[in-house]
Amino acid sequence: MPRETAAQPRRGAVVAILGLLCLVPPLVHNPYLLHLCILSMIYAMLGASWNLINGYAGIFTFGHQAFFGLGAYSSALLAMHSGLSPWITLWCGGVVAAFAGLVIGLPVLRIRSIAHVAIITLAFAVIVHAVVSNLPELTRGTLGLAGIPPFTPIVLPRLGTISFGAGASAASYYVALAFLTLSAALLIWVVSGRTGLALRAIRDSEAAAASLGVDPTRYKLLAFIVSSFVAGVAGAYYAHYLGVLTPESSIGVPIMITVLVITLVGGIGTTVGPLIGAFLVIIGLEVLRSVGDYRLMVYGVLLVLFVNFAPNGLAQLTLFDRRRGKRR
Amino acid sequence: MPLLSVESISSYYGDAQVLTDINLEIEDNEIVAVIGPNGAGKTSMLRTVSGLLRPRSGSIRFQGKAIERLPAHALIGLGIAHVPEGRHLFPQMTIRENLLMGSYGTSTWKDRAALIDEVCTIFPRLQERIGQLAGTLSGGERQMLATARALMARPRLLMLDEPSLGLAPKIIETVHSIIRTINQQGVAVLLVEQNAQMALKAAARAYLLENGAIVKFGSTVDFLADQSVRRSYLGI
Amino acid sequence: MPIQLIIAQIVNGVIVGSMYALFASGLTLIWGTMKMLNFAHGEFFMLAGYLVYFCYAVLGINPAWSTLIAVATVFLLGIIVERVVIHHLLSRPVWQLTTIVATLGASIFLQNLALHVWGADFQNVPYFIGGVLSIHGVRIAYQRLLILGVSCASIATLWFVLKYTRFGLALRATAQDADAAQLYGVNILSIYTLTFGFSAALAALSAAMLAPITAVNPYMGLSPLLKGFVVVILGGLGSFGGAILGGILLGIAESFGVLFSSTEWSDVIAFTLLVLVIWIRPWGLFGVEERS
Repeated sequence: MPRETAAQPRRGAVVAILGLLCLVPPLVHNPYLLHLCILSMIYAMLGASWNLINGYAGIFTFGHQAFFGLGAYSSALLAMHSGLSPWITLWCGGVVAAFAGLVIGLPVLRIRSIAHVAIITLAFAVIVHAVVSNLPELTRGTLGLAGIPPFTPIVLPRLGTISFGAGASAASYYVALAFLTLSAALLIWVVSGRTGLALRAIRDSEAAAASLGVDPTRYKLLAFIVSSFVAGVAGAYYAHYLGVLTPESSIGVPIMITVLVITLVGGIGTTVGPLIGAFLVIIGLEVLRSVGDYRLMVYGVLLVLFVNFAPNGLAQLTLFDRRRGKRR
Repeated sequence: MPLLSVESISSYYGDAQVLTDINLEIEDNEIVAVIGPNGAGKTSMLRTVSGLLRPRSGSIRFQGKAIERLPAHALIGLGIAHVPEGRHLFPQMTIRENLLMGSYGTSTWKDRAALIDEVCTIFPRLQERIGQLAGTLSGGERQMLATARALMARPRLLMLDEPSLGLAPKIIETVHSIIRTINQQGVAVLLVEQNAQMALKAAARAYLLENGAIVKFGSTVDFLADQSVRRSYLGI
Repeated sequence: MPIQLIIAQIVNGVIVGSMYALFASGLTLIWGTMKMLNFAHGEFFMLAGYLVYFCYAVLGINPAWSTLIAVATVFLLGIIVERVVIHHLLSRPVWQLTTIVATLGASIFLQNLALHVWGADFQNVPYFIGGVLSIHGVRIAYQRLLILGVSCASIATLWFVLKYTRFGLALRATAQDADAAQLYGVNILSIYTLTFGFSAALAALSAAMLAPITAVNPYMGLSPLLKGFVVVILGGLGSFGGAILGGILLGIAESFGVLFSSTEWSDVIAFTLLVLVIWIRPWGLFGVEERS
């Protein structure tokens, strides 16, 4: 697996990409393209946060959609029933997701087997999905929530009043970019500081790290909480951006598959990977619409080809790398 | 023609070279010892001979036939049996089933019932516990089962990796006397040991492996007389 | 609660659970030997459902032959999928992860293939045998008894093959120590391929039995896959006996669960049970600690 050295997560590359993203709305006026970019940014947040637990802490989870969905539904319901501004409820969504991360993180962190962790986190996501689907009085069940309030207008100096919601693609775009930047900053801060060092030490040898006085559970739990918080905020943004939520679109297994693919395409265990991967995969999936009905079949084939020929992500194509690693 | 000849083998784990230009020969009916410190590449050498590790260069011949490109599972049929370090028994299988696995890949499968009786005359302890799970055995019994499993294949060459590791001195004596018995029945033995004293006592010739390369070889008499070997490996 | 109802719930739980057990033993077989999770297991189930539908409901072939055709075809398909999709990943590093993505890819492909060929409609498969058995007020459809009989017979066969045949010996040896198995002549790559094929066949058999009860559609594989995962973790990954007992336990828990709440909550019951068990016994009821 590709690893960045402790000192330099590719911060420069991340800053450069975020900078480039600032330039998109003035150049691209097509609202559909902007919508795709916003979706990509949401998935970049999800991918980067999942990458923190998987790539850095070395815990393979398969239930990240639970945190996304919990963030989305809590923020949406809070905003609808309490009348609070989405600018406030969004953070509540993040906190609810973080709390869920704490709850599921505790049993999961006692286990080191990839399969066990994957299935238990998946089970957790299925529980969340089923609960949301089976509480129609609160969530309208599988029909989904509609009429989620958009972000309330804000007044900025010189620019005047900026409103969000339908038809305000550029404004929504910059909000998504702001959240993406905040998340990236938070994740890079975690990864490059003491915590990141401890996490990498734990991933490479838990016993060695523990013998040096690093408490593995504490750091892994911290990674779990930060990661689910970011996923929850991403979900909350998604809810208020789209205005509608269904259990399948916000807590479904396909979200997890997309996150996994994004991280793998970009390169697992790297900071910049999920960012690049998100745009490639989300926009790639749209391009695949040109093959019509065959779209998802082609997607499946591409996934198989990808792991067979470039299992370490695009950055490290192993097409010509004939060396075989040892199993077990 | 030697039974086994290893010619200029170099092996790697990923990018790390573990064996450099290894040459080694064993004649029929011979006991050859390979000694050396922990991490010298003794286990890697056996793994390379038995196909678990692909050499990057060099060749290995068994009875004149090149075997370095053969898959690991093809070698037992040719007559090479490898008892790996740590015995590698099948812990959730009974002793009987472990023994059966010994003849799985060879033409001896059809004689398996008779062969089990035969190896049990050498290892009577196994007969008593034939229906028990291998995971319940003691260290010495495990080594005996691992050796017996290898004999089930009627090998021409038996490669033993650290057979005395973790065993009490008295059991080590037993294991070594069994090795000599096996050898007298016409099986060549390649004995890899950190316990140099035992190995040199059992073998006629020896190789000294250090840092993945052979630094000395010759008769065990010469080894026992060599000052540096005595100091470093025999503690005399 | 009347005693008849309790007995009927237990019997029904055991019957449904025996199918979970059959489906899950395929997953646990793959985990035990290949140390990987197969996310395409549900798609083998789904394809077998369609094959039975096609042979039995459309062509009118008798149920036994239809089942046999479905199981044999899916066995071959499993072999092809293993060779094409997974085989080359198994000898490389990070195979735990790449095999998950590869089987997810295969699953997406097969599901959408089915959608493309047969459409999203539910297809009904008639019962193989009609009629209801009634003993002292406990009523059980013959179809369900057939399911129970088939699953007992196949579990017994599977156990016999694993325990007493040369192939079973090689398979268990590979599961317990792949290196040693190779040294003693087991071509582990062929074992992996065959294991995958047999595992797919087990999914196919359970689908053939359940098709008349559940109806056939392209997405029918997801629910058994999720429950199969619950069962194997509950019983202990890689433990054959654990998968059987885990399956029956889950079947009974669900069938009592629906007495106290609506059917929609049955998934929640299953998965909550799993999370609770893992809190108390991280390696499942019959599992041993897995070191990665």
